[in-house]
Amino acid sequence: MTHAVSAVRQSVAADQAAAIVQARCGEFTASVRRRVYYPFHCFRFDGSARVLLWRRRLIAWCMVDLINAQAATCDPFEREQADVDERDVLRPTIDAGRARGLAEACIHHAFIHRTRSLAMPRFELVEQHPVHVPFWIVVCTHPRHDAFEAVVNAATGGYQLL
Amino acid sequence: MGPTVIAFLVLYFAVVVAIGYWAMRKGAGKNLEGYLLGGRKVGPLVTAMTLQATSMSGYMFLGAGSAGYGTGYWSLWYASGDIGGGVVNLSIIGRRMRKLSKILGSLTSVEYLEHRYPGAATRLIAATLTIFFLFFYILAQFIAGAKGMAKVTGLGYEWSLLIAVAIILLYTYMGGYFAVAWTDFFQSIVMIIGMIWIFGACLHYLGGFTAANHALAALDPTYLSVWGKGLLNKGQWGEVAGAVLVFSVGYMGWPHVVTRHMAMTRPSTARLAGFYATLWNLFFVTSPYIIGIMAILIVPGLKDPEMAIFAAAGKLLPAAAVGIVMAAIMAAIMSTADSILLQVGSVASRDLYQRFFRRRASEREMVWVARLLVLGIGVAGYLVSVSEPPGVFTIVIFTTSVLGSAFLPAYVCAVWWRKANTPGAVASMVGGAATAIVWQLDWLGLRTLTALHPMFAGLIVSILLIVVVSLCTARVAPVPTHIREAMDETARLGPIPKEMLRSADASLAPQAAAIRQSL
Repeated sequence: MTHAVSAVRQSVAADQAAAIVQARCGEFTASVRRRVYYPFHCFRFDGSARVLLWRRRLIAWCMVDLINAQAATCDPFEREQADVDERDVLRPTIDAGRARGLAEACIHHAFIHRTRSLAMPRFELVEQHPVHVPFWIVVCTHPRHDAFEAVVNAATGGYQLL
Repeated sequence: MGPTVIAFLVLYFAVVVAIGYWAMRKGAGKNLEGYLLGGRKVGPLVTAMTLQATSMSGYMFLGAGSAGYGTGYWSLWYASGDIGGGVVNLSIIGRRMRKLSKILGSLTSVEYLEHRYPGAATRLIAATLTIFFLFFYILAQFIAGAKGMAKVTGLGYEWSLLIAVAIILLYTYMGGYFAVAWTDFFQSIVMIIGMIWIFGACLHYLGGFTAANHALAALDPTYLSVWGKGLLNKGQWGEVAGAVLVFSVGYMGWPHVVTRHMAMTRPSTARLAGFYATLWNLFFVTSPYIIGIMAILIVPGLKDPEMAIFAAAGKLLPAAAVGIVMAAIMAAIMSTADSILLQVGSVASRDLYQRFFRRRASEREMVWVARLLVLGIGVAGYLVSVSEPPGVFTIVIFTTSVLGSAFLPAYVCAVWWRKANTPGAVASMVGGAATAIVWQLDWLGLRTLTALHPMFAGLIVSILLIVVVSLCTARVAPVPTHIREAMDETARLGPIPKEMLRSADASLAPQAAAIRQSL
């Protein structure tokens, strides 16, 4: 059964995902097995902080992993509506309220450490929405070795072994 | 030192602020703030230089110089460990720690330890040790800044210390400059120029290495010995081992260095950063020790050996060049001090205050906690430094020995030994730190008796404790299953091609784990 989800715009197609892995897996043969959609909640905060004599405007984007309850700052991204089989959508384990708390903590932590400033930034939440990130699952096979799998982020092209 | 030096120092800070402002304006149309808070990165060279600028502190100009001035070639044992320290750290804990910290969802180094060794005691002890001993490291920066300030301005030490502490605190509160990466990059370039300039001037003055060594031999041949002036450490391999270990593996106990391991996204980035770091270290790490040795001949009879490099620069360089060297020294101090103060503030607010006192503390409240602690450190640092200032060299070696002894086995076993458990880690942290302190202070004459460097003694005890206590308590405090699984995941290599592992994005490890479970 399919339904529409808001997703980060996919920029890596199935064959490209396989090619990314193939370029690094040597004698293994990479092929795409399926695509899954991973649940995140995205927040945009606008704010400002005083730095030396100036007040500095800040825009911060943050994505919260709704399964592992982990937050990370990110760059703005484009979204699209995707019709997906619900079996390919992973279920979140935390709600938007908890995600917001994680996002706020993450933004403050990132501000202090990346600008190396013990300043007090003022942030205001201006936008939030759930979003899914598409991942390609790529299987690598070899006639003599055990197969292994990797997930490729269909938005960034980054990958990780499964 | 005259007004020309001060003018160049002021000019230096003006240029740094201008670069920061330029970088901010340049990036404004491209959402620079998004860059600062987002995931984009500057190039690997800028990244590596930024890391080096942060890690090179006032120790390099005062502590290392004084070690060379006071002990001769013996001091190069410390430098030898430092040259390969970055690569050793990355090789031993780099890749696995990056992955494990991502899977466990750890933001800070202390949090990582608690996630790996579950229990409030882990965080309480780790955070307390971190705050307490990083305070001493910051103290070294205060003293270094004060001595530099006194030399430049001619003010007394007390006033110079007050000004140095005020500048460092203000710098930390107000956000330093605008674009950290680019200003750090510039500061690292200034450090290199300053160091090369004074190094070249010393060599030129003495007529080259050979002539300098002959002159040293004529003065006191034991300066050229590997055992130190007066053969003080003759045959004491325990002292030699400790001196090499301090900066080769001691770094692994520094929470702010470990945090950097956790932040790197790809092993390939770490490899490139390691390459640049080694290149930098080959020159930058050894130079101040050698300049200190040459200063024995150039500025003999200094009351304060820590002023060896300052004094040599003042004697050999034109005023403008002295200004640049002074700027390099201040750059080293400032870029390190603010990083560590922020680290300490974070540990205090997040790992202690929020974790143990107010779980629902707001971000604003936590910034205030961090600010108050930083202010407290400033006041305490001033009071300690003004009455009887310890040497920068002594403080840095002491701090590194204690932190290394406390945390190194816990960090290494966290990724390499599945049986390492919470009681073992706690015993190791407490026992390692206590041993290093006892040996450093030579209580009961133990250091003299054993001829072991505090770092070496601390590490032996710390390693023994984590192994013995973990094995003895394996049944009552087993390592949780989810941690064993996470460790298996970080260790998993199998037939997977190395290139596949090197280029993997560690930031995707939590999602990969969740997807694997859902499949």
